Amino acid sequence: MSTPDTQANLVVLQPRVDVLASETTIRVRADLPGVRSESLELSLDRGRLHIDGVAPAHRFRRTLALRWPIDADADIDATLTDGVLTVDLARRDAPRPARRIAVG
Amino acid sequence: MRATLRRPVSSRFVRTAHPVAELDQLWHELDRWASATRRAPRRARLDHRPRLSHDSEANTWTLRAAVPGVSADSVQITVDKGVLAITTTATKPADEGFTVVARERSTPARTLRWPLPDEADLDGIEASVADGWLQVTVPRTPAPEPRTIAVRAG
Repeated sequence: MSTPDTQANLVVLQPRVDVLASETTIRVRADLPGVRSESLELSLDRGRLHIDGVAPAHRFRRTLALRWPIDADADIDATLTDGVLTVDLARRDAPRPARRIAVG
Repeated sequence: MRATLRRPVSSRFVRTAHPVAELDQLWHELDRWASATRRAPRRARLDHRPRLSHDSEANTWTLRAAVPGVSADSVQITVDKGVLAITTTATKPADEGFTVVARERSTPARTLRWPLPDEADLDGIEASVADGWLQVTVPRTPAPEPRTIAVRAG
């Protein structure tokens, strides 16, 4: 698609995002119309989620500082459908399932 | 804070292909259509307003709009009495067990009505949705050759 040269000249836009939280997961959803998965880069660094996606006519870039502790070692589930990115991050402060203790 | 609309540059487009009044009405429609999604951005954000362009080489008009979350089966396009109507509904994902912490996105059902110019070839209209972009192409029929009509002596 675009070469690095042309990418540098693209207008950088901030994607609109929604942030949702459940007891175990932080879900980030971002509008990235025109971006395909092969031209999208995601990274997680010290609780900051970086989104960098290249569309034919512009580039989306945004860093979100997540205010919850994120388990960086857990699986991160990211999908891009119809120009909408959904990322599910595991919370480190998630309540652990209750442990059954067998009585001998 | 009302941003100005970008009009097609081609003066030929404005003068001959589309009467100015009709064009103004279209821009008004486009603006209205997008106002539902417009907010005051802190930094540059994508303009969701549909853009109309004219390709003089292919002799087509193309309408493009960002429609994130809209799949091909959630777009309805009809042509009735020379008016092209586009209706989109974005799929609302089920987020059971989640509470919303921040919401910037909005995915309303939207309708755009475009009174097509007389030269529009209604049978050749094509539409596609890919990666959250809608594109509607309307071919323009070539203007008929000027004709001379013979006058008989009566």
